[in-house]
Amino acid sequence: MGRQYSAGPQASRLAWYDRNPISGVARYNGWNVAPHSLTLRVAYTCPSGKKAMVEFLQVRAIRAAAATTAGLVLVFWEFYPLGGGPYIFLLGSFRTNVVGDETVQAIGSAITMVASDKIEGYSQDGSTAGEVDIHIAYKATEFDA
Amino acid sequence: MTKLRVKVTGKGTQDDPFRVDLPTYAMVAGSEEYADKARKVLKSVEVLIPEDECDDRGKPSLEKIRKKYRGQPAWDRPDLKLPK
Repeated sequence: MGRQYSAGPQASRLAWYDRNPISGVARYNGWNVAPHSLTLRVAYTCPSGKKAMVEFLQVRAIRAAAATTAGLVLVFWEFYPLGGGPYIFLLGSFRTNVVGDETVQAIGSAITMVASDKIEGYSQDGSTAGEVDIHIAYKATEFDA
Repeated sequence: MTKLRVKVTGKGTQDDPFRVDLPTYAMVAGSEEYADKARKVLKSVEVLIPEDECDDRGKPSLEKIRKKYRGQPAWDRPDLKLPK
């Protein structure tokens, strides 16, 4: 009599993208943004009973008007896991003063989040006068844990 | 997503950045209202938040947020206060 194998509990579990997925995109698109202190522009927290696949993160900053004194322009995504401190995951910066100077950073299939994990998109421009265009975005698919 | 104007907290520093005390949101560019415009101290801003976190009037719902983030220390606590 041959041995019988069970497919096991995992065989009946749907893939993550079939477990009531909800796809979401959010972004901050600021044109001609004046110098500003550190500001949390976009935040996402993974709800209870869910996980989330972060499929891309983007940051972009372009000098739109020259500053009197150029300071550090920063755009970044920070990952705040349930089990640890924050970590800057994706960062763009420049300190130059020519119109059109830019930083563009993007990452795909970035991270899998569990309930309570958070991603936070920030910007800062330490210049005196001048303007910067700022773009911060993410796309995530939330699904049953 | 639902758009609403809410109070901004923080000082714009590394330890205390300007932010909105909601779990999930996106600021609407150009909607900033300043407490001190010369020093760029933010007072309020329009944000987009998930519809399932709003009440019937389109305001953040304490009950729905506590339920959606049940068991999470930051959002499921008796003294939770949402920005107005």
